[in-house]
Amino acid sequence: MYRIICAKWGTLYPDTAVDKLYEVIRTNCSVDFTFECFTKFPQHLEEYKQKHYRASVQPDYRFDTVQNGYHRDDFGGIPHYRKLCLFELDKKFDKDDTILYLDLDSQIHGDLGYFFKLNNDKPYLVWNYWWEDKPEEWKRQYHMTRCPLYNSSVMVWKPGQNRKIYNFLEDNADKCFFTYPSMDTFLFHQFGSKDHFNYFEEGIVTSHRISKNKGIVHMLEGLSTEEKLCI
Amino acid sequence: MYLTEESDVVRFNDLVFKQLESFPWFYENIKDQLSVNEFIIQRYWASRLQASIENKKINILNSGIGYYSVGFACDQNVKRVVLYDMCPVTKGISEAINKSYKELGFEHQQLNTTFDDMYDADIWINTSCEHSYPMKDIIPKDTLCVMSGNDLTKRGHINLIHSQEQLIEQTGINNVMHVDTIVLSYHDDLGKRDYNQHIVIGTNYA
Repeated sequence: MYRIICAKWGTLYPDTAVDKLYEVIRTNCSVDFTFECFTKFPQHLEEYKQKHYRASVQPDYRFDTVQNGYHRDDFGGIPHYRKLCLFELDKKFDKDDTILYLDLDSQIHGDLGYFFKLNNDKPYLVWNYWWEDKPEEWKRQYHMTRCPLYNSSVMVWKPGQNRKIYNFLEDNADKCFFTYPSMDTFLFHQFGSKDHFNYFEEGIVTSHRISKNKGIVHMLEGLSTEEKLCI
Repeated sequence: MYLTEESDVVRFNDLVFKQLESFPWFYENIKDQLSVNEFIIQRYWASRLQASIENKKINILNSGIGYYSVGFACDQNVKRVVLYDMCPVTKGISEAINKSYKELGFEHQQLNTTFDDMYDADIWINTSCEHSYPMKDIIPKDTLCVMSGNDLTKRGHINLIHSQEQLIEQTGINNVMHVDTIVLSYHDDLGKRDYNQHIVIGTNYA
């Protein structure tokens, strides 16, 4: 069975965002699928987020600011850790299912059936091709846990394939939540050199911040709510 | 390192002319690691431990390229000095500029978040605690440690240390031999400002 899922927590997105995403998916997917929005997540990891999140107010998009003596990218607490919980919550699905995860603000411009025709020997996520040839960005900032080459806005996996990521997070929760400001950097540092992931081909998933060319999924990551409304 | 030798000049040339030519975008990182502030911090522990590090094995965490620390350690005839840093570019530069110290016991390892796979050592040093998870659960017990961190707001600083007491608490050092605070100055896009570099040397008895 093909499963398309998303996740919602907090108040950044209204419930209508889920309905809107479903409508766009429904008209852009050539294969039969089920759709589910996850809204309940394991509570025990929240204590690590609360313990180590070093800002007073969580920004709703990426911009540089200083709170409590820390820069935006040093706040820690992996605010999007709930997406990592999906790697555990997928145990409710059959092992032969294929899961496509989409961020709530994803723009769909092509047939999502593409994502269900991939070789699933390994899970997939987005490789930020647009940063790869800019070492002055991603290599320069590697030690500051910035500018990862991974993006988790779109992911494909089979149930259980990413379980070791969730287990690693759970086993090392204090260190991970202290150290990482973003889920993508966590994934890039911990699993980037372990041959764990496959990556979508260049142009399949695009980022509005980088290019106006649109792939099957066009990500609005890093944009403010106002900027997203203008697109 | 106190008296300039030809090997020091070669090393400096390797760093400035070869590495920065290959990685010009890494200049800001290197600049901080060559700064007078960095020299003062590294010299602090080197001058206080110089009588006791001969033939000892030393681990240096969050080391950067170890421009000063490797020289200080190897000049005192340590048995081994291993640098640990998470950045792959830093590892490459460190191995290039410190190659002359390899036969004197220098190694560089890439550090991971969980601090696994580190060698045993007689002395554990982390003079950049502001960059990392607190050291109390990382460094082994009953070990001589040099721990230092600061309260400087700067990109990449995830663990600001505001007092000597806080540093001692989060490193677990309960037999303090030296503790100091050095006031240093830093200048970036937030402007010029002073900050406190806290340093403690001691043992973390179980």
